[in-house]
Amino acid sequence: MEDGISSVVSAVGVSRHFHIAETGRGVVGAVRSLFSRRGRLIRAVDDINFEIPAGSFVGYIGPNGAGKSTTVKMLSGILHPTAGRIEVLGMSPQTHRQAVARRIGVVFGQRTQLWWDLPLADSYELLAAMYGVPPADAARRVKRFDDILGIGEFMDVQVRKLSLGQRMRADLAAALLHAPEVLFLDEPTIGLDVVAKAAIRDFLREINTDGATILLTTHDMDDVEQLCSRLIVINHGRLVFDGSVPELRQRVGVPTTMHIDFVETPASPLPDLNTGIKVAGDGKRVTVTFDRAQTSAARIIAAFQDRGEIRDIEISEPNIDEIVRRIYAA
Amino acid sequence: MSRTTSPGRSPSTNLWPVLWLLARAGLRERMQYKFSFLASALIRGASIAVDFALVAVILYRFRFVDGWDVFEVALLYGPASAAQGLFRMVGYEIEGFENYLINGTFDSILIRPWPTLFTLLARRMDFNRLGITAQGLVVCALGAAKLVARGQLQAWDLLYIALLPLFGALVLLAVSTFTAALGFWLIRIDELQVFTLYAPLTASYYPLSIYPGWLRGLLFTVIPMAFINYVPVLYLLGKGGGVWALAASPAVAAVACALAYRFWLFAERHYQSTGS
Ligand SMILES: Nc1ncnc2c1ncn2[C@@H]1O[C@H](COP(=O)(O)OP(=O)(O)OP(=O)(O)O)[C@@H](O)[C@H]1O
Ligand SMILES: [Mg+2]
Repeated sequence: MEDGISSVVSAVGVSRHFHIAETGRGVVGAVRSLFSRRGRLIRAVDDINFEIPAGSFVGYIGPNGAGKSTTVKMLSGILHPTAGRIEVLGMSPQTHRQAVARRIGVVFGQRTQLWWDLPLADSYELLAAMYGVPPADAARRVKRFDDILGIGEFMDVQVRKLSLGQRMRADLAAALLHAPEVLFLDEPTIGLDVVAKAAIRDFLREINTDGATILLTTHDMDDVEQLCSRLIVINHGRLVFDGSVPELRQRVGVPTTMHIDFVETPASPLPDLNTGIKVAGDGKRVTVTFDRAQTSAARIIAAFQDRGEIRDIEISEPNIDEIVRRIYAA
Repeated sequence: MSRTTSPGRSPSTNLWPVLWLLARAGLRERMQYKFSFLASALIRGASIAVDFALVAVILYRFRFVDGWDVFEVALLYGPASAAQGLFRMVGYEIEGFENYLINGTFDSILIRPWPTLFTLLARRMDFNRLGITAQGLVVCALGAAKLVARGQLQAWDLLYIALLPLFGALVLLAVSTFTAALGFWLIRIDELQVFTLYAPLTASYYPLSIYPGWLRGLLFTVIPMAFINYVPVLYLLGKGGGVWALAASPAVAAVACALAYRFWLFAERHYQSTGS
């Protein structure tokens, strides 16, 4: 498993379609819609292929509705693909759901897997029993999760009383209690503050270093840049990019936007910079779009130095949607 | 994470400790709301008392229902009611399965290394419902005592009658599981449960001979409520049927459970989840 070549997750021609029927009201309507062919077909995932070798940390990104969660649900055995074949640890998560479940960990940031009305500690006790983790091992792991994630302080609190950040950390620890070899994480940093995000990233990095293979879904470009050695991008259910972050930059260029505010409207014409750099002036504000891999911010500022007194500079890093839009346009 | 830990033991080896833990957790989860725990136990006790009072009033008004007097009907009502209590204690989550489909929380059942139906049922045991069982058993005992005194029942018949709630609970579980499994397509099944479970259950409080043929046919076949009380009690009271009637109840319960489980396994592959 750890030879680095064999893939622990593979998807071959995987599709998942949803038939959205026009549902009537009540039992009669529901029964009628069952037999009616009317409605819409949504190709949530459409003919996707990828292989993930053991020990990888893969970012699985795409805009809202791209099909990320649907993919994660198929990988973890929740949904059956409409077409294609999935293998996780050499087994189909559909036909060998229980065997696969025993060796993977799944987190859905939107939804907790914990027992809502019980103290956190009880959830861990139940999960340990469910997965057949000896109590000593479970205690050792919980201790370790506490060291990194600080879950100890709310161990006796009912899950429904935890804050989002606390609950997220608790959920992550819960998914790891049985030492899974593969982790599927669907937006585990959603809605968290900077400190909580950092704690979770540190934790994931460590788990990955220890040998776990991780597939992470996120809308946070920082997650991807700090953690993922590989990026899979999907849009409208189709795979549009599969490679490393540097490869992604090379392929589409990752645009950074800089707003330069002058005290007075700058003298035109604006400086002519390299190709690939877009300059647009609008009164006292000049907007420059450039690629950090090719041009440094300092060079651009220098180019504008003699155009007037600069009052403020604002740099915004690209968001994932912009990158995906670019990939799609490319 | 240590990579050297032994793979988890197979479910069968730690099934009972887990069930025990889950049952305890379910109880504790309930006790978190102490007031509602007590209040709902009281309200439920009251409502089932009203339930049987209605049956009794009808019987006192008419003396006999199709040749059955109040003590004989108690032998129908009691086991059915006790079965209901047992079923609802174990099948709490299957009764409310619609929620899992609407919210997509069945996801969290599927990611566990257990058979889904088992994980689902184990998620909560509702001990409140034991009140219904107790009430059913009391009604059953009152009826049986009188019938034994009248010489209509032998003492050893009581042993069999004591098992009826168990067979009945299995039939109810099967019907409920089957209905819940339809939810993988229909999603909304709360109303359907009324048709498949509660209405037939209420029907089984009376001798089935009072119903029109099509309804009786339904209760003997598709929704086999006839076997949770009527068929064996009819024989025990010497009103009809043969010795086979005693074997029919457990047999029907077993077959219904097997079929329902088969259907569940087939149906769960059609689970749609929800878009986040
Ligand atoms: N259970 C479902 N029934 C019907 N349609 C669904 C279902 N689940 C997902 N979809 C549809 O499939 C598409 C992909 O949804 P999915 O949840 O996989 O997107 P996503 O990439 O996770 O988006 P987000 O970033 O918003 O979480 C969407 O158009 C969604 O409406
Ligand atoms: Mg999603």
